[in-house]
Amino acid sequence: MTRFVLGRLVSLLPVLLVLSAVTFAIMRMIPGDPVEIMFGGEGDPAVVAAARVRLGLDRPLALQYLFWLARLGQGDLGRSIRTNQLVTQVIAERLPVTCELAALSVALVVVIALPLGIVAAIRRDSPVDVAASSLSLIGVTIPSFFLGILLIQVFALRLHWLPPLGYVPFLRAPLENLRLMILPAVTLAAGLAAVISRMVRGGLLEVLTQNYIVVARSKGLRESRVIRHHALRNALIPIATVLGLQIGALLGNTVLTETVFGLPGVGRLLVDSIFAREFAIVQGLVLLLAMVRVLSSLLVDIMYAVLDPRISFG
Amino acid sequence: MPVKLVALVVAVVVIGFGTPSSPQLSVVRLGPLTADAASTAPCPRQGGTLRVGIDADFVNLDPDASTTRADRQAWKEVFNTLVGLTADLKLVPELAESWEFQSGTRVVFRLRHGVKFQDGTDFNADAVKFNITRKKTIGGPRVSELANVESVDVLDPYTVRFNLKEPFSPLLAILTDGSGMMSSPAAVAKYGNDYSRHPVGTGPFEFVEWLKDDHLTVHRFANYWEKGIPCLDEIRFVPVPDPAVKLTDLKAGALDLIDSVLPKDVSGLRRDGSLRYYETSDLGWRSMDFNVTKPPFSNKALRQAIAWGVDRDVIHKAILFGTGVVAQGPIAPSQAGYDPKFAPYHRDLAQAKAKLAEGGQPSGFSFVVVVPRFEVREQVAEVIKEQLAPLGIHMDIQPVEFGEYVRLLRTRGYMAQMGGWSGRPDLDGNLDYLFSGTGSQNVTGYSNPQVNDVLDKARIVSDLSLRIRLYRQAQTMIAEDAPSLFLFYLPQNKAAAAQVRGVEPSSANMMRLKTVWLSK
Repeated sequence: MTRFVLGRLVSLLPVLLVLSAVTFAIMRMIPGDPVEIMFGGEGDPAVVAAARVRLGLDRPLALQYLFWLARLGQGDLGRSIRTNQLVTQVIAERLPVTCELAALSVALVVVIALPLGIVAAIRRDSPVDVAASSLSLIGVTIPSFFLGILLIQVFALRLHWLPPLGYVPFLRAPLENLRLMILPAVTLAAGLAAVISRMVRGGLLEVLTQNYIVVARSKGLRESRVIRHHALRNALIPIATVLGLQIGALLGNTVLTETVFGLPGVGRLLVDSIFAREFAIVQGLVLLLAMVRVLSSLLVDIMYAVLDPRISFG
Repeated sequence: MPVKLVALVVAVVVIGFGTPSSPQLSVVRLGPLTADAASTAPCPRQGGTLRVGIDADFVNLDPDASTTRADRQAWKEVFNTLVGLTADLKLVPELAESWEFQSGTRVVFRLRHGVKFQDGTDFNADAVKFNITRKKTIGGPRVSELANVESVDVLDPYTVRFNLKEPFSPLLAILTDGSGMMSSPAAVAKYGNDYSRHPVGTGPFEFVEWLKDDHLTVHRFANYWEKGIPCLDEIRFVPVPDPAVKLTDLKAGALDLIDSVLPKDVSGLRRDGSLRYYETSDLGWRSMDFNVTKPPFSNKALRQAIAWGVDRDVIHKAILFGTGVVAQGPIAPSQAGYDPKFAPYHRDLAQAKAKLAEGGQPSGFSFVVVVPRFEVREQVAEVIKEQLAPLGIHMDIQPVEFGEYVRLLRTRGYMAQMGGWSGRPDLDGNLDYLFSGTGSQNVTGYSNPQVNDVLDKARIVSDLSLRIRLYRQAQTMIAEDAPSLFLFYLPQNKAAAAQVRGVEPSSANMMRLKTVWLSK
């Protein structure tokens, strides 16, 4: 098991290296110079040129990339062009917001999607099932930025139940923080919850036709026990896979959600940094998001072993 | 009835005796009128927190390093400048009590005594020398502003001399902004790279905290040198990028003051009795700028044809909803030297056609205009496209992202572009930077030896009336050559809740909130 995890971690390195090189190249292929943008297009050419030299932007691209790699080796992701702040610090300040948002969304997905899928499977073709199907269809198809604006319109501006936007750290005002996070979390969770509830329904229906379920029922077990102990456990394995893999996608979606709701998280930081051509910050964020994605898929593999005793890593 | 009476009296007083320096600078006060100007004390009422909605979050709070316009709003509260600038662009003493030109290249500043930085250290001549040196060497936007300052000599603890490379009359105006802001040398040393997040000045409010994209808070500085100022205990700046949301927040009471209002929302605000609306015109204009180094616009007659073909009044009414001021040249309505009668172009299709014939394109021509995707620039371009169509001029609009836009400008890889200038209090900054052949912001490639001469001369004479005459002369020649098609000066507008008093919008973009107070 340990060898398996270590092996997987080592195999990550080339992936991250290629990814960082590609990001590096793409960011620099986008027309537009970070220093010119920083000066709002009104910089004195002499000062702009001097700043480019100071920041090392005048060096050949390959050399810039190697310098970046060398510093990365020492745990240094570089500094922000506009504020001279350490990139690690910039990202660390924003990370809690995104982590909270993602955690709340995953919690919502589990709380909403699991029961919905189970009920839909048990009461197949009933009005509940039809309603659940329609709801998931909406959840899958509605773009998250549109859903976000819709929720703000209805719950914040019309009904005044929740504040429209803003952010307060959880530790400073927990209740206010949650009030502000509900709508973004719902927005972010909607698409995933829809997919998961459909998968739960489908998976459960399939398992329920298996022979061991028939056996369990014929032993006279209560239906609730059949569902919980025999059917659900088996149906959950593929769902755990999807949920794990979707965490990466979820982080990607925070870009839109955070922008709509004005949350100071890494998603919004990524967008702002791309427009400002903050190369080092974009580079750091892509690396972080990629790591989260790869690590979550590793976690999924490990979870297989937990959920299914037949799987082991030899 | 008594309220109406007060309103009537105030209105009569304003109309009868108020003599605003120019009509564009008059402040429009709407909503419930009360005589809050009657009191002479700086703060009729002390205390409270003001929540200010701003367009964009701050980026870098170090006035020597930052290049972002939004940052200036925080500096205006945390810092003082050597020379002060009133809302109507008059130069007044601030950290320097007086100044004297010993010669064209030697300026002596006598500094105010007893001024403390917010970290408790003293403001003095050494601090001035430290700051100017830092601004000149840190590689930020002040480098070019202060390029003419050779060195600073400390004559005694409260007297400094600026030694200039050559006579430079815009110096005092330059010292009213970032270049004149004084940071605590001790704080700069203490915070190092993090000074951009911990600004320490001598201003009326001291920096408390900044949560990126959420809020920035400043508190009243107890040892501020101006007696009885500031009025507020705390200001909380909240970035709200969406203007519609910002206005909604103001109406709902979640904000007390907002830093801009979209032109389309102004008439609704004027009707809203619970809010106050303030407007003056900006120092910066918007224009269509031509690349004069390449065809088709290396041809002066074709530039003029377009200048005669565009109806600025329609743009002013349709897109700015009558806010702001129509522009005819680079001298801004709030600057000394502005001439409201100066109007070399208006829409005249016969003139435009004559110019097309003169330029060798009697039946029109085609060109591409690049447009950055912000403000109302795309909409303005659409209107101009319509207006030029009857002349056979086909204008192709090419929207571009900001980084690419700047690149096209700097490499002169464009034919025409929807541009403009952010504006400077001193005339030099509105003319020389853009229209002198060697100007740092000259993106059109325009260079007229006569204009260059006049602008150079205006830089070294100190007599204001002579300078104005020279700048007006340059303005006339620039209009004739038409490297830029001046369209409008944007409105500088603010809106506030009724209890917010003492708001004074400045055409130099940013508010100073030290005398703003809350009536309840």
